[in-house]
Amino acid sequence: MGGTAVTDDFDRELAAAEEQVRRVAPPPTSPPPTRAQGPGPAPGPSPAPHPQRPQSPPTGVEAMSARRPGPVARGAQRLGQALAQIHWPRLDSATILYLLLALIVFALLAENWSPVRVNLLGVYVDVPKAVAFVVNLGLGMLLLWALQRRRPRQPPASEEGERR
Amino acid sequence: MKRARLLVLSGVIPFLLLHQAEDVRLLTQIERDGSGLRLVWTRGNADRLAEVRTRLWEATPNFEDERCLVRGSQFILSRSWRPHSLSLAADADLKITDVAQNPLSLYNTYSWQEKVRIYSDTATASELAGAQATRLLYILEMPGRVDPNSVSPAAMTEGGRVVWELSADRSEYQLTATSRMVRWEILVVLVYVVGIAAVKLGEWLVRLERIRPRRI
Repeated sequence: MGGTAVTDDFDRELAAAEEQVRRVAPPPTSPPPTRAQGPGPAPGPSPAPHPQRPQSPPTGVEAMSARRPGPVARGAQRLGQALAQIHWPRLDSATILYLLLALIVFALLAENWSPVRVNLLGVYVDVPKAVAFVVNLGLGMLLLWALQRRRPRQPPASEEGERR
Repeated sequence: MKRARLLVLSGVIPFLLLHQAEDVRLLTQIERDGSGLRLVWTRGNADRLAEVRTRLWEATPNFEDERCLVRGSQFILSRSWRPHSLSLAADADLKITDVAQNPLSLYNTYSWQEKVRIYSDTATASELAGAQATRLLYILEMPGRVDPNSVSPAAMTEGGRVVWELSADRSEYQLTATSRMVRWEILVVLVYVVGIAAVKLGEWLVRLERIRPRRI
């Protein structure tokens, strides 16, 4: 599969290169001598010999390489382009502190990754302590949110006075 | 008091359990914070499942059921216990040298010592005759790498794992092993702090060099 794709790419690249050269070069007035005719003079009346023009590469067009960058090179190129577009944060004191805080949280999570056994009505589950802590925190937040939603919101006293 | 008595029982392996099951393994897994897992895993002939289950329950009263699988003529039965500190295990001693004990070191040290007793008082003479061929596989998993020189009696050691093959003809074994683990999370924070300090110092030196008055 990969081999076929590479061959297709390779053939397409060669065809494109040939097409490019053909488009730029002037069409030959007479067919070039073939190998079957041989290098010697052709039999019969020979045309007047015209001076050979020096062969020069077509100007303005670079010769196209048949080699394409491989998948690794292409990936690296794309990665480089993507990285160049990223606006890296400035190394100011706030960024440094946030990064340090993130590292400390990460270290605490790693320190508390040892499993703890949770009994769910007779079913025992071993979960990391940090996960259990986050789940507990989430449950607490969910409970508070549910309680706050149930209670009707009362406008502040100052707003009530203004309305009256 | 009752719980303490039951915990003491968990350090003893009944000889009859080893005799009736074909394969008995005791796994002790030590976590970095001193908590851990004790797991007793048995495999044997399905005809003896009831007896082995009884022996296993007697030996591990405070453990929870883990697996009970029967396929054809074979069974697998296991029970486990996950204490918040493995020092609670009977006849066992776990010593941890952490940041609190040795803040300047980059390593945590774990020392495990346990007395494994094989209780054979209820076994008959005919059962005891095959004691030499009866084995218990004791697997110890510790954080970091186990120091092979600290392992006693001699055992297979690989990374943080030690495997002892204990023969039932001895009634008591004293197992010891020590491991060492890099405090990589503290190391990461340290590297970050030192790196930032170095970058800031470099920036300051460059700025100092720029604003220094030069002779014209």
